[in-house]
Amino acid sequence: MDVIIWGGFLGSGKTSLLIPFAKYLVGRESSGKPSLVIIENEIGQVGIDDRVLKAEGLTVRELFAGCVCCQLSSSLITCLNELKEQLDPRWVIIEATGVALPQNIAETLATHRYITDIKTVVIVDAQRWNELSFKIPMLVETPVSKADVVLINKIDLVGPVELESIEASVRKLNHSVHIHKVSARTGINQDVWGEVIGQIE
Amino acid sequence: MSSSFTHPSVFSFSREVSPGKIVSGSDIASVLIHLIEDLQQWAVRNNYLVGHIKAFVEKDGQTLRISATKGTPDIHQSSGWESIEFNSFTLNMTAIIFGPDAKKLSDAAVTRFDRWMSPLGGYYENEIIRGTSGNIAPQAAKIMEIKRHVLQSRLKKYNIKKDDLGNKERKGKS
Repeated sequence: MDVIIWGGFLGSGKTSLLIPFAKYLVGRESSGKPSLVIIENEIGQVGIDDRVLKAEGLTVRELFAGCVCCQLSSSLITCLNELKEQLDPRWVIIEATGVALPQNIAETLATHRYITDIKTVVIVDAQRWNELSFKIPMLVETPVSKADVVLINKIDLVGPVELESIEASVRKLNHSVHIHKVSARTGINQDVWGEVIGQIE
Repeated sequence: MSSSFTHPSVFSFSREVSPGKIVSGSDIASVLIHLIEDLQQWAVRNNYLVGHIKAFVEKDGQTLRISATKGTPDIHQSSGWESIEFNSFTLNMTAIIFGPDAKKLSDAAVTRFDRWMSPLGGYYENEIIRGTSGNIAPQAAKIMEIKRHVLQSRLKKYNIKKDDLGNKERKGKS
């Protein structure tokens, strides 16, 4: 199983971007078996994003009431083992909570016997990047510094100068990261997903 | 750079609502937008930081999802949602906010739920309210530090260079 850790701070648009990305991934697989399972992790006891993803026809497993990067890591391992035995999907996407540090999840899974590869995609909220970097730098900058791909979302809500500055900040934190500037609100060009897949496959 | 906030409080909320009269999807959306904006304004007034506030309602495969951080809430709804008629519905809601303690957040959310839902009339059944206080960020930082320390000890013990640990090696293990 190839694992994609789908991270990003609260409200950055993780689920809104995950829906079209997951549908793109499912659409390119031709085998009959489930090719993609999403593990939805939420810190609240009542899930919302899992319901949203299921309503979109996606296969979802839930891990609630804690964060897999620090509190529920053993539950995540158990969940992955069960997925392998029951569905054996090609892809597993772990949608982390908005306060997770994705690299912690990657470290937890680094030696998992069923996982062939782990990549991290982090969503950045362009509208709140400057505010969040100032108020809670660890939670927004650390995930970016370890990401393989960064999607700068909500670009429709900022001007070109601010966007350029955000991109420079991201690049400063992570020289080798692949950056895409998108807006879930206005829609994502399928070519972007093709490029993202190419960068993590 | 300064860090004003270290951990969020989390409030999760699931309630079955029976308004006591037929209401439209549009009525529900309108009430929820007011509720969420009221909670946003409470956070702003108190200099809190909104992680996110989300609400979700589903009926027969039709969905309404409203989410907000700062500014105008985002609304995603199935086509035709406005005209669907409800005599009951389940509302799922989560608010994650940096600044207040869990009780303060819980009180604020429940007060606003009652304020905005009461005009619909009726009663709530199978009430489930769950609130949790998050302390996620400090725990994550502490665990990351411990993991880093353990990894460094192992690298030293087995004389492994960090560059040797990569995806290629992981792929080989499968």
